[in-house]
Amino acid sequence: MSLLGILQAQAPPKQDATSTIQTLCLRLSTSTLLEDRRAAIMGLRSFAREYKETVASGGLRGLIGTLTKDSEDVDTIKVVLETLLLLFVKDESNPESSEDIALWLTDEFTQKQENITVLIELLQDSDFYIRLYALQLLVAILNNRPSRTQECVLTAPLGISRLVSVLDDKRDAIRNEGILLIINLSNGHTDIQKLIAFENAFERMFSIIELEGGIDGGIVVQDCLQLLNNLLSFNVSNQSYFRETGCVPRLAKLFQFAQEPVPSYAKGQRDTSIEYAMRVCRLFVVPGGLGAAANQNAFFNAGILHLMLVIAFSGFSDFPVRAEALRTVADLIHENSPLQENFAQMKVQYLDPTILPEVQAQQNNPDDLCYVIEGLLDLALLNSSTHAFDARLAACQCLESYFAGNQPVRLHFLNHAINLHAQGDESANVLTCLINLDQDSRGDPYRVWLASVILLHLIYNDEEAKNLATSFKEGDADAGEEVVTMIQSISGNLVAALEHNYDPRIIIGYLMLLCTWLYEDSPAVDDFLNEASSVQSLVSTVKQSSNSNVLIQGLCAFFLGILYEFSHKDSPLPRATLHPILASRMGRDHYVNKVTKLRENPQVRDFEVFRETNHRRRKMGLPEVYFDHTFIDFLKDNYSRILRAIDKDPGLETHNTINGVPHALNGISVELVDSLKAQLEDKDEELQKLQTTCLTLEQKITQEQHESQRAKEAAAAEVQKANAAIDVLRQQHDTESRAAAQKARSEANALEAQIQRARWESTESARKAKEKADAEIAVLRRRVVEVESTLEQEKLARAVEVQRVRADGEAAVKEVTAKLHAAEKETLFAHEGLRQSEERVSECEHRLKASEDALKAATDRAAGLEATTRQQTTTLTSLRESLTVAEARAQHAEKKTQEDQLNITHLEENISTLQTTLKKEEEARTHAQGELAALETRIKRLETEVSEEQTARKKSDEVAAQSAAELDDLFIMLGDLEEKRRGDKKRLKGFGIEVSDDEDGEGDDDDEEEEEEEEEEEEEEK
Amino acid sequence: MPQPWDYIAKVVNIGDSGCGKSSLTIRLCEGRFNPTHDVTIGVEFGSRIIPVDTTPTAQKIKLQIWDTAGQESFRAITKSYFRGATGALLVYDISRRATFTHAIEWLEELRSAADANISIILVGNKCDLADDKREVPAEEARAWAEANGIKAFVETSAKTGEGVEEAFVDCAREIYRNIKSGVYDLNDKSHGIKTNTAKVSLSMDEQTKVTGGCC
Repeated sequence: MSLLGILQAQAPPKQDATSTIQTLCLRLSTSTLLEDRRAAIMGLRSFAREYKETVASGGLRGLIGTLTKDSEDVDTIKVVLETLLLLFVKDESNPESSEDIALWLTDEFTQKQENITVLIELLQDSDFYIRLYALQLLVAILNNRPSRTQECVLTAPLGISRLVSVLDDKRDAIRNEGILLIINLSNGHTDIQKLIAFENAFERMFSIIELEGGIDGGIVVQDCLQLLNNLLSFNVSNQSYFRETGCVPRLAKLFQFAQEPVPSYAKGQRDTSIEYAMRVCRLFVVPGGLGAAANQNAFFNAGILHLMLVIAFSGFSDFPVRAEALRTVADLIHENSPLQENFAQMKVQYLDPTILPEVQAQQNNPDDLCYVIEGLLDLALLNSSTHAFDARLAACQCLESYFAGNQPVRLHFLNHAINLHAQGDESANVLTCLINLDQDSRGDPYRVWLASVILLHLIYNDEEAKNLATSFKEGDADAGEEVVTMIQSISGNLVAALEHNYDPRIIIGYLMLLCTWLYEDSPAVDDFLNEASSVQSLVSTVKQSSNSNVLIQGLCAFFLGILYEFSHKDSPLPRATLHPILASRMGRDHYVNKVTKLRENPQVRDFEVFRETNHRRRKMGLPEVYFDHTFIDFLKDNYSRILRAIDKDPGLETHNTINGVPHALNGISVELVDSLKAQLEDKDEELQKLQTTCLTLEQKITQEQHESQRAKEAAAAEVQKANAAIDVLRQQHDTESRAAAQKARSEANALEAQIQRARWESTESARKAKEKADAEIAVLRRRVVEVESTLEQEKLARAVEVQRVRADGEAAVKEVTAKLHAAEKETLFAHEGLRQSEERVSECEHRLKASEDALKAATDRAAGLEATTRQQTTTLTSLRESLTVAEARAQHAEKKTQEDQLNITHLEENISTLQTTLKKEEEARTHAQGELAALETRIKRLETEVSEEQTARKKSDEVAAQSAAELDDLFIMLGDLEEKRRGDKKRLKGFGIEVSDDEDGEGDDDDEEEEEEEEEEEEEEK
Repeated sequence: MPQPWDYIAKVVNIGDSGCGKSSLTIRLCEGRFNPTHDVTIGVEFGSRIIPVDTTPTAQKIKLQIWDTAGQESFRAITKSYFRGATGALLVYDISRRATFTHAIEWLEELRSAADANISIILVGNKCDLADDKREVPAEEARAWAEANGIKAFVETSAKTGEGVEEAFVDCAREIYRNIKSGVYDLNDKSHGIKTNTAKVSLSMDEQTKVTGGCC
């Protein structure tokens, strides 16, 4: 503060900075003379450090604009770039500077493509400062808005090309700045990475590295390797480009002198560079990567695998470098069986694991060789230095990669270990380390831990290796020694470790191994359960409340869950016994709690996140590494199953298929399985039977389908036949009915003819009768003439008699006319009756038509029937039913037609009755004739009367004779009489015809009436 | 070196495109109005020193005004300027109702990025058009501001200059009140407040002890 005060005191009265800056900015934007502008820019530069905000707000546009406007003037451009760079610099002590200013500047460039383009154009200028400042500006801009700047550079014409060409600049400062810029630019942008690679970046990088002196080249080499790292990371295209342009041997060359001693001051940088180079190698062989196999082979052929092993087993190498080398080796041989076998044959320098690294460097003896596997085991199991942990873990990783995807290798390794252990060999051995938990092992807890992890990788997901390990036994029974299996030895060690509270890593190591080993392996579980006290020890560990380790308790609980899940009723500790121990003595909730706590522990939960970084940070004590990644995967995969295992009924078992031991499926009781198996066999048999029957049935079905087809066709034919029959019937019926009608009509005609004949006959007879009567009248007249002649004689006497006779005659005539009237009436009736009978006949015809209609309806129904029959051809059974129905209907139709026939016969009967009535009519006519005869008799009687009259007249003649005297008078009277008689005659003539008609009609009429009545009755009967 | 201000505060102008944010800034900082201003690309920057009251010895606040682009395509860029803002002018156009309805989106975006104690002022610009083209009643805007926890509302016209000064003065005073009431931890840069250590030291010994370590 005091200093500031002094400054304040010394400062001359100042012009206001803000207004000065504003003036300068105005001058910059408005001046037409370059010199004025340059002066203004230089003024602004001097303010830029202190008054960033004011300079930026007023002058930024003008400054950037100058880059384009005055690009020829190197000096001006240089000052502008310097000013802009000053504005970017963050100055904590200056309250006017803020991050926002730099951000704003960045946006001013990145939002306007042309501004970035101008900066890139400036790189073509050969002036040192312009190039450098332009690069520095681009770096600053890139840092503030990375992705936006990447796009702008990509868009700028020849942008990438111009940037990469900076790498050829002989001036180190520019070249190094260019490397830094390209490192930032390539970060995370695949397209830019490709473009940079195609600008020959790999070649340029290796040239620079060689120029700088290879791996010992310092920070620039490290930057170059970093750039390679950026270009190759997860970029398969660039990786294959790298491989195919022959860069792999150039990369290998970097490692060739890596094991040579360097001065201690340079060692740190060199180790870093080596690690960077190794990291580049590992980018190519990421396990499971797309081009991993091709890259592994290319790297092996370039000798990188060998070089890595040399570095890993060099006494001069520090542990971090050795660890990285081993990790690279692990990735190089992962799941590549030719390389795995090649790898096993390799030899490396023997390093005594028991002596300190510093001493090793002095005793470096490249000629003392051993096989690489031995070297790895020595490092992993016997090197107890805390600094070595990373390398030990990497060695373990190497072994894992050596086993990965290669069962013969695993079995060979395990057999070899068993043999060596049995022989009591002194060299590093996984089994020995696991079985002999001695003082050394307790002092180096990672020895047991790493041995467990190596064995875990050997037997994980490999039943054969697991069986081999399970069957391993130690101890000579003949020599009186107790025979113990490996599981028993390990469980014994585990119990000891739990009871004596050994380092948690030992316990966790054993538990990891046992969990994966016993999972889904009931024989192994049985082997473990042979020692019931082990279970007790595990349970009491889980129940411990004081000084408890969450990881150990959780793992113990998890392991107990596995034991229970894969135990069975014949286990040394049966499920029924085991369940109460877990569920009651330990407590079900306690179990769930501990297992859940384990799962939630960051060591388990976040294992993947911290996998490679966690353990490197610790400077003091043992690293915080408790779990192997394979085990964590296993735990997370099977967590929920084992968590729920305790809730499974002891009656339900989970056996597993391990060579020839009774097995069962998961969670199902054995009895049930057996019965199910029996059932399954039965079912199989049944199924086969059913399949054969099914086959025959299918055949049958096809047959029946054929049949049904045939039946269908037959049915159709039948239907057609039925139709035809119906047609025939109809036609028959039609013809019959037509014939009947014709017959009836003809009969009616005949009847009519008969009637007409009868009428004709009756008229004829009437005419005859009239003629006869006429004849008789003529006779009568003659007789009258005779009488007149006699009357001449009688004259007067007979006048009275004549009068009487006349009266009589008149009366008779009256009678006759009356009768004639009646006869006329009767004839009328007869006509009426005839008409009625004609009507009846027409009615009869109507009925006939109606019956024809009924027949038509019947045929219609038959048609309907046909339709339904067609519909019902779909299924066989329905077809059959419909067929019968159709037949029934056809029968019905036949019945109908029969009925129709009946009707016809009926009709015929009617007709016959009609005929009988006709006969009756004829009879009646005969009757009428009879009556006619009677009439004739009556006429005879009349004649007799006339004859009587004649006799009477004879008497009168006698009287006349008596009265002859009076005759003359009488003649006069007779003349009068004659006149009257003539009039009478005239009258009689008319009467005479009428009388004859009258007498004929009667009988016919009666007959016809009777006939009609009969017809009516018959029709009613119908 | 003496500086003519006691505090620096960062203020952002936000709102839909074409509301007149840049015109307000230019009116305040340069006292002019340009009827044909180009659309803002990214952000613009301006500053103005404002006394917190009318007395001659009044403390002065320098407002660093970050005038952001309203266009949607610049949203990603402008958002990074919200961080560390002490005050904000949420601008809408009274003659375009849509700009008012979008205000809530701007407010949410601002509050998600900026400090919780940010002083926001709702500004209805273009009030010179109020007579014939008004679409947003002043009462409605005031009610909306209250409902959304905005303490002040003014209507302005960058064209005539009406209300512009008041808007920024309101904002400056609000910030000053907050400084005085101790809302901001002046050591924490995230509030966007900076204290002129050289000047404050003369008048405020308390503050000096806390912030004056740089010399």
